[in-house]
Amino acid sequence: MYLRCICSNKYEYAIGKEEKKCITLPSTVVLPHDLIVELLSYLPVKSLVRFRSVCKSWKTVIYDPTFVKLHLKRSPTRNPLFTLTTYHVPRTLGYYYSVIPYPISRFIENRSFNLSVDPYYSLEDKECSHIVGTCNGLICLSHYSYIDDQFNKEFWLRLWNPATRTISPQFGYFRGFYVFDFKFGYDNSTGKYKVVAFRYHNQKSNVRILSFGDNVWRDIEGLPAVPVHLHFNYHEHAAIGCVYLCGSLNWLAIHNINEYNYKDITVGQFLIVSLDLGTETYNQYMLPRRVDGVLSGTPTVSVLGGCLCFSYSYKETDFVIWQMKKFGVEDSWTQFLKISFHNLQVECNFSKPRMMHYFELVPLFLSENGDTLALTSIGDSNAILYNLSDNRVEQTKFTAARITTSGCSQWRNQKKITGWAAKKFMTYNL
Amino acid sequence: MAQEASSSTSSKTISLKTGDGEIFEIEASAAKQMKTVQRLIDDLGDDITIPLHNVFSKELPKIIEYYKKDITGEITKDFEAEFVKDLNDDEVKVLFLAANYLDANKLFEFLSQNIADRLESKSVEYVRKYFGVENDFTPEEESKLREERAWSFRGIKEDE
Repeated sequence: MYLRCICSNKYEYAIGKEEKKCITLPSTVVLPHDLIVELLSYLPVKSLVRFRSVCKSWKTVIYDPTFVKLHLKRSPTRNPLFTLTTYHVPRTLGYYYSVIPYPISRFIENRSFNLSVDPYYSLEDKECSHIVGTCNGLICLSHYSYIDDQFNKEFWLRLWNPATRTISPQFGYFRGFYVFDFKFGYDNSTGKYKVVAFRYHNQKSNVRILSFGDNVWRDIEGLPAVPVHLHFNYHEHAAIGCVYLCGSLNWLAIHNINEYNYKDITVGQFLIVSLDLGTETYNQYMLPRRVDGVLSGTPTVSVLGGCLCFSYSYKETDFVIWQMKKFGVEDSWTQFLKISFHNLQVECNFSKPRMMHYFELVPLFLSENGDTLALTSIGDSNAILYNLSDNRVEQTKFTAARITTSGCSQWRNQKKITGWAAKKFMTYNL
Repeated sequence: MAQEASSSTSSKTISLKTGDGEIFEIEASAAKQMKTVQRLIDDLGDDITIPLHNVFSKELPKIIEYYKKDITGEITKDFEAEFVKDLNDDEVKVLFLAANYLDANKLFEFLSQNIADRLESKSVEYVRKYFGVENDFTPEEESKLREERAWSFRGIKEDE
């Protein structure tokens, strides 16, 4: 073996000495700093947190936002996660439970497993009761307290990184009444995490945005169309009516709610209203025209395989999912799946009152290889796994639900969190 | 000449000369996967022996073996596991450096992940030795860091 890498000064000095002795091989091959950084970006978060202690330059690198971005780039497609929530019995006041990030691939391979819950994942000591959303491994939490009578609440947020085990202080205080909803997302253009609060009341919508770091709520223009599920089904709205994708929030909407007749629903009535988290302006996208016929219940939106999807029940016999293969391109709507309820081993009772408003079967996620689709039935809540390649259906014992958040708001100046630099808060995908 | 080389069939072989003077043959299509080699071919032509000053006879055959499998689409998880199984830490590092020098992206990424996998559960002391890095923290600073993130020190392997 020969001496190869000329990198740190220490090594050059060693080479100078060694060369005179006609080169003997070094006991360790030394790598240059930039290659070490490359290697670090392949490590899981827990190791990186530990290796901060290796030396000062490593500690600086590991916290550097450029490195964080590089690490994030490596992770997303490699090991997608979803969050498991486990309820603790007996429940204390509020909805205290644990939230555990868990690899989707592991779940698909083995649906029955024992999970020992590290007490760290409990929400109780974080004093939060709801999950607003997750993005790039960060979890946005929320909580509230009553101010006076039951109708006035003060509401706040916390941003939690379970991988690095860091959590922000409370921020984004809200005060007021009337129910509204929150969504959490990431703006690619500025590299900022944002929370959007929106409500729909009396045929008017109010939308506010908060950037993590600024920590101030800003009013923006209301939605240009009526968010259908927020109007009819606000308890489930977060699960079926609005999704985060590619730096935008997307609502299933309709222009004129007064013309909406749930007995005579056609796809052509709907559109997607998309809020770009960067520009904070709206785009509107049509749904595929090729869907004809009357649907049984309002369609729902979801995200599968990184694509915006909408799904519905067709003629009370089939479940259909469409994917927008290229986000924002209306021509890219492609039918992803059409399967009978019979083959899904799902019994849909179309006379149930809820069914009149929306169709309860909702896609949850698609495995990385595109073979396994997980669905949940809002109401029964048991997750179903459907294998697209061999048509196998498996009912699981997991209840899978999206957590909805309801809170109150009054549009006025909020407390500003000072002294918390956003850059201190690393984001690592797990 | 260089034009011809890039449009020739995969049966064309290129001669590579290592830093210690040995010559190895590689198929043109495999050579294409190593951007440094391809650049040299484009500059010097494909008929002359391409000199690789920073790659040596111990590792080049292994790299050639990897890309031989790559062009026939035979790289599997089993092959990759077998490929690195008997390599010690220094040998992997040398291959890694060579892959970097040759701009052989697929091999570079594979070896990066392999090195990361080897280091994932190791202690801080092991990693310092591995990279030849000196600890410039004071004992107080270091114990404070460990205390703050005690959870990340659980479940690590014993150093050999």
